[in-house]
Amino acid sequence: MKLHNPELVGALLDGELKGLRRLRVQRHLRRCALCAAEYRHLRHLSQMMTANPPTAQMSDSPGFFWSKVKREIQAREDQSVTLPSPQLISSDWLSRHRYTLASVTACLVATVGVIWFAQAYRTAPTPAVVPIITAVPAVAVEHVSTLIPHSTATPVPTKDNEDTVIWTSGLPWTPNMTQMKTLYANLDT
Amino acid sequence: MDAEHDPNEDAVRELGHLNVHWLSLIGISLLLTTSAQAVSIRAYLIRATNDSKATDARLKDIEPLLKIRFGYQHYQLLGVRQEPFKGHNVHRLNLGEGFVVFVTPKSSSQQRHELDVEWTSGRASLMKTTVRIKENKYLFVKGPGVGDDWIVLAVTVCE
Repeated sequence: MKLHNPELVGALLDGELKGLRRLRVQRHLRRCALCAAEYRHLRHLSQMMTANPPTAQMSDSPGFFWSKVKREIQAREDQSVTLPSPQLISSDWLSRHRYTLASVTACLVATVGVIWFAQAYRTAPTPAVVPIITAVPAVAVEHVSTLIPHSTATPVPTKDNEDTVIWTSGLPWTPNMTQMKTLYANLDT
Repeated sequence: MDAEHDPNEDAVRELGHLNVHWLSLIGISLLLTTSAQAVSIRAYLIRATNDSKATDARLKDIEPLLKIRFGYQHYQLLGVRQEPFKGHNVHRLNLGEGFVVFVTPKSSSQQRHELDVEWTSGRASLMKTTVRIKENKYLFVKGPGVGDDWIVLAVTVCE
């Protein structure tokens, strides 16, 4: 504290200074004789005020004073009184209406969200419902088998479902029809 | 006036009455007969080959199908048999070359027929199947190989 400041000294005496500021003022008082004298003067005044509190002097007794107040109230009862309206700054207004503002903001966000969702849903391409038509094949193989050893028979449905091919594989091969006839005539399953 | 003649007899009505009965009976018999014989089972024994000499005009209706399904260029008809449906009796269709097809109708509804089909050669059962086949459609069975060719069986239910 470079300059002497009587207000700070008074504040220290009233206990209004806290923390680092209080320490600095106290250090200044230890070094500055002028301020230390001011501090002692103010402390003396304070002690005197504490020791001799001012007493209220009423000209009337409390009962009589109250009766005068009541009479005055009744006399002014019919008069219109204009109450002063406080001038609020924007921060006060915002603080007072914070719940209203929050509600309005939430409603706005919800409304915008609903509108956006409706627009997105409207512009989104509606998936075409394609009826699944399961074509019944003209020839449906329910069961197929072969008794020839090491051979298989497999149904192969055609793409157009117009007919069906049963594909046997592993049947004995012969070079000509005569041998085939002989072979199968002697093949016992 | 004829004594045996009944003057109250309605000759036209009586005659018409008889005609209706007989005509109904004949009509129903014809209907039953024609419906019973309307559907028949037919089987083809075919040799699929690339030999250009092996062709048969009787296969002209199914040759395009055979080419698509089996890929050979020519098809020789080795045998064909057709029998009318006889209820649930077994149809024995001898196609020649030792091949016999046994067809047993199981059920029929709305031009679709469920058949048991067994293809045999000699004592060997080459293939046994149960199919539901629509009228005028074909069940093809790729059979044994002979040289560079294949033996093919075609079964259809036709009107």
